[in-house]
Amino acid sequence: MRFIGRDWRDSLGRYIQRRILINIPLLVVITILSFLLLQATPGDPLNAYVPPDAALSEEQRDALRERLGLDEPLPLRYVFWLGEAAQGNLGFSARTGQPVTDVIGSRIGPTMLLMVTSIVIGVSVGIVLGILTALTRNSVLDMALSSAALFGISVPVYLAGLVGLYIFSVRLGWFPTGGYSTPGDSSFLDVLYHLVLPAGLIAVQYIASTMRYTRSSMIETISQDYVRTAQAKGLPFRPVVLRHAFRNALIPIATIIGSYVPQLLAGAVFIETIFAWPGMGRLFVESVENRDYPIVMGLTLILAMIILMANLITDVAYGLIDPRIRYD
Amino acid sequence: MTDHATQTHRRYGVRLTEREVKIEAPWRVAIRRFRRHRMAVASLVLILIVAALAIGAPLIAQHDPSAIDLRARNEGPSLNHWFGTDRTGRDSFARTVYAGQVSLMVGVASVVISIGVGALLGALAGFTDSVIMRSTDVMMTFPPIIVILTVAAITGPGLWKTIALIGLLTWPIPCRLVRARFLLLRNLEFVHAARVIGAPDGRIMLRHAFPNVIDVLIVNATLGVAAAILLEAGLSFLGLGVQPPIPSWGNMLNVARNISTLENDFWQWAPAGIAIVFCVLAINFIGDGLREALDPRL
Repeated sequence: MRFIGRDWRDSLGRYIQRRILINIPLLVVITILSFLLLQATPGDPLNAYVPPDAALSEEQRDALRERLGLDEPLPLRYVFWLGEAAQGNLGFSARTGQPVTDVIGSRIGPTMLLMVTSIVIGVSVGIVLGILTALTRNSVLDMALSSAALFGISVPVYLAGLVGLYIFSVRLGWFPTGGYSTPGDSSFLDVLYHLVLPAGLIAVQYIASTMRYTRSSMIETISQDYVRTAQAKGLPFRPVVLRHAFRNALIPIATIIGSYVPQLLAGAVFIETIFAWPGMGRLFVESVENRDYPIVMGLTLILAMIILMANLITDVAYGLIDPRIRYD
Repeated sequence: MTDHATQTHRRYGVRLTEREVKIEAPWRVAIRRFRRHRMAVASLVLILIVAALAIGAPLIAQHDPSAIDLRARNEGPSLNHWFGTDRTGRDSFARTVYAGQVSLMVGVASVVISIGVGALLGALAGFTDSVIMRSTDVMMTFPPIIVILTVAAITGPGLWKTIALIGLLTWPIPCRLVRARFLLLRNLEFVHAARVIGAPDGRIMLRHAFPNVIDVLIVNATLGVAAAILLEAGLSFLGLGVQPPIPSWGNMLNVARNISTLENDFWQWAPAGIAIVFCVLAINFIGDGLREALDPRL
């Protein structure tokens, strides 16, 4: 055995370093692509850097253009743009004139709240249902839940959003039809009341696939020899399932938790639009509709960074959970 | 060999001459195995019905899908308008079947682009590598819908742009599949043999390697159509894909973003939603059936 004690920790450190290093060129390529897309947008690129209401003479504009390096060749312009972006200057909204970072910054919180809630709902409900169906394999309950999961995976998030809104808010009236909180009331409970339905609907596909993963992973571990040994020793059913089988079944499940972040972000675009949730997804759609390019590109960059971070965390978590995983 | 075969048949009371002992053609084996997959067959029937409805739309629909009738706005279902009318008085049933044409066409056309580009680059990557695979890494980092939205922000919406965007942004998956298969084939004996007798690379790729990736491509193309239909519907739902008056299932759902339409005019958006779910579910079942039918290991 190579990976024991210090050796194991060293190799884990190397593994994490490698994962971080792999992500750096990816980030560079993504910034280049965002920059090139921004260049492809119509209009004077200077406008992105000046608040629209600022009255500037032609001389002032030229001076500013020179200072921002906008008359330099493309590769140099990229370096200047990257320098500005690294300092948090992504330009100004073409519509409201607010700095892009301010506009996006105020939207990150609500989106994160939505994402974290739907991950919590997706993982917890998915795992519980997965264990349940694995233990009652081929029963009526299992077959009903398994086909529901198959259906759940095929239903696109925008349709789940519309139908969920129609049933739970419009017809049954259990939840509000949209928004972040009731005007004048921003207490935690009120936000939670507005949060549950959209988060649950983003989580539909997530619940379905977590359940399917958990089910097959549990079925596989339950039939392992060490589980049979534990049962043969006379241990009661529940500790065997939870302590012996479930902990090992968790390994493949842990990997899909992080790999779902990109899809959850895509889901947030739709659900935030349907539920008027003031997050990045809705801002994205609004900005695309308004042709507010500085905001669109700023959002793309930030979403890319979130996705890369999530991938990195997934890889590291995978390495921590399963000592067998090493890519040397 | 022949003796053994005739003996076996004689033992079971079947008389077969040597000529009659045939090897079943591979596609026949595939069809036989596909037919065993009951959900896949049912799904194929459903998709054929949907396709027939879409293609035969001019015969089936009693109304022009884009004929505006301001005297008959937001009507409920009736004998004249089976699914009612929308807010400009257009017949919802006609729009649903004509939208089937658009949605299926977007699905198939963008998959043709995606598979074409993906298979070509995948084949090249199987021989060369690196640059192509690194670019698929970048593209697969993002959910396609976010990339497509970003690019659509610049190019603007439209039917052909939607097809091109979906096709050109979903090629990494077939590319990776073809590459993986090519890497495997590269080390197989029949490819070595072809190389030893002096066959040029192009011929090896086309005549020897390519027939062995067709199964992967068929399955991926099938699942790709479902994914493309979902992407198109998603884009059009946000108002950034296919634009009215051209009907598509996605832009029919778009009206449901208005809460009063969602609440009161159920028939304007529900048929399109049901069509999307059932088509996607059916296409995915067909894909599963094909995967099992074409897999030689099963």
